[in-house]
Amino acid sequence: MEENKMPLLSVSNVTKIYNEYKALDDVSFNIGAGITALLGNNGAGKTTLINGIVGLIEVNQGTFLLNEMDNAKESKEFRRHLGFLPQECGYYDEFTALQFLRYMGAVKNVPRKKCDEVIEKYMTRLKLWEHRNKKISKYSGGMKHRLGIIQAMLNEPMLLILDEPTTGLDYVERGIFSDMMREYAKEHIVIISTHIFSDVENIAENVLILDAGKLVCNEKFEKGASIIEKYKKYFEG
Amino acid sequence: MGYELRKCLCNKTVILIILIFFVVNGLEASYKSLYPEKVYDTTTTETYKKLIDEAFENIDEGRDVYLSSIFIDRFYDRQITAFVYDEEQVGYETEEVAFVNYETSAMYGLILVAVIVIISIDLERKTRMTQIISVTEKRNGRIHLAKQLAIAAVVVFINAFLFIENVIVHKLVGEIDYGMKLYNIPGYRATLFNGSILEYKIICAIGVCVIEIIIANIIYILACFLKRNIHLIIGSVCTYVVLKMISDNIAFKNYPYSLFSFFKSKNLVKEFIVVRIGNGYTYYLWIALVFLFVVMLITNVCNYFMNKTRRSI
Ligand SMILES: Nc1ncnc2c1ncn2[C@@H]1O[C@H](COP(=O)(O)OP(=O)(O)OP(=O)(O)O)[C@@H](O)[C@H]1O
Ligand SMILES: [Mg+2]
Repeated sequence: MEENKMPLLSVSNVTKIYNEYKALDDVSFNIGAGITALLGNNGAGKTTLINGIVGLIEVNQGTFLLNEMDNAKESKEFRRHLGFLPQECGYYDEFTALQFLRYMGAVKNVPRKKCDEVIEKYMTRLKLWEHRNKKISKYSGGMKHRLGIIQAMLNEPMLLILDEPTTGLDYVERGIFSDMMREYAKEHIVIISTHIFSDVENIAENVLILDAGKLVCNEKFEKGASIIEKYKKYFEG
Repeated sequence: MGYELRKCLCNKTVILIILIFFVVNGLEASYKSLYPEKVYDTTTTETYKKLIDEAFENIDEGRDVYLSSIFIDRFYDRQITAFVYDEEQVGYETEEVAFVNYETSAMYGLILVAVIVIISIDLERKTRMTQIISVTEKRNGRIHLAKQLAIAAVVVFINAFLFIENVIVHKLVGEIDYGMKLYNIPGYRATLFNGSILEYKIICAIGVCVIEIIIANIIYILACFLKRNIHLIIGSVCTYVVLKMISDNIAFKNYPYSLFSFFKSKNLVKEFIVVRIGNGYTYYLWIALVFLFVVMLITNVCNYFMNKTRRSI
């Protein structure tokens, strides 16, 4: 039942302070299904916000609710519906890609059979299926990145958060990735943090812009428009 | 399951350490005789025997005796069955306990396991997998269980090897007939155990294994809470020391390491360090272990400061 409900993430009054520096300053927003681009200059607080949502860091103030589930109080429930690709993802180099994904499936509590189906689906999609038995240490940077994306999607999460997922992907891969996200975002919330605007211009439905910890822009985005033209003022120093 | 452990076991340094352990274990087995009478260095043996006899006489006559720790150390192959300190006579051990103690005195396996656990946890932290794992539903719950099982398996495996090596070396060097009853060994005449030497050795080895599994897992649990290697090292050494003290206290009713008298007496502390923690070669192994961690620590500290300066630039 819950699966069919339209998802809603609401972030309210979040503040995070690092040694007196406000990395996040009273950030609030609501987002539903669809792709949300999270933008901002280096050090704007994107990763901090994402780490707060997924529960990697504790914020000084504020709450994160996913369909009424609080990430602090019902954190296990929350994590069940969560998929996450960190900015710098670590891997067990000695594992083969398949072993790694199955391992992640196990810790995500995905039944083995379903897990294998999902793995095959996404690995085929991202052209990794023929490399499934290769050790991760023999993977190229872009391949590792794609593996990280698949890892995040294994439990088909209601909330998928990708921190700079397209770095290291070539032109063709970016296209495939965009299509995949567009499809996935029909029923799920997808948050993509990136500096490469062209990757999200054609797929993003919402835009969130952070500037020095403050949320300066939260609005619907018209697909196909140019981010840099529209939001130029936020990206110039 | 136990991925880091597997990786750790394939690590060159760890393999080297394991090899050193096997060599040392073999050497020590050939140096320590199973029969208390069959110490190869006969001249010193006689001298020691005389001293021991004197000590016993003194105890019998109620006089105060002091035996130095080194002396006890040399006699650790069970010719001493009484521990005597400055003012008071602090404890005896029975033949069975003496035998168990002989078997457990080194616990090389444990040191090895401690190294493996610590290195593998360090490796795990370096892979940075913790980030993606800690946001999954199961988190580390499953992994912990798997790792604890893997650690237990490693302990059993290492102990089995050390045990077999020990038995073989004793057989070759000491010409022991393992089928013989334990009470046939002159030093163990009064034992109540009615089985063969080998049976008793196996019982001891199983006991050691169980104790080591418990200690290794405690070290593992500690390691999960302690984020820094230095805390980890101190933590595991302390765990080892404390548990050894507790187990000794349980084994010997009157043991010198009753916590109270332990902290009262410098000699007891010295003896504990030299004999218990640093029994013969083990002493050097502990030094090597500490050295290894000091190196690890220094690299970590250097890294930390380098990162810091990099950040500030
Ligand atoms: N652990 C930390 N301790 C202290 N300050 C931190 C820490 N993590 C982040 N910060 C600071 O918080 C601010 C926001 O950092 P954050 O990583 O969220 O930026 P970002 O928007 O993700 O940048 P980028 O585009 O470079 O990834 C920065 O000024 C950073 O220096
Ligand atoms: Mg970032």
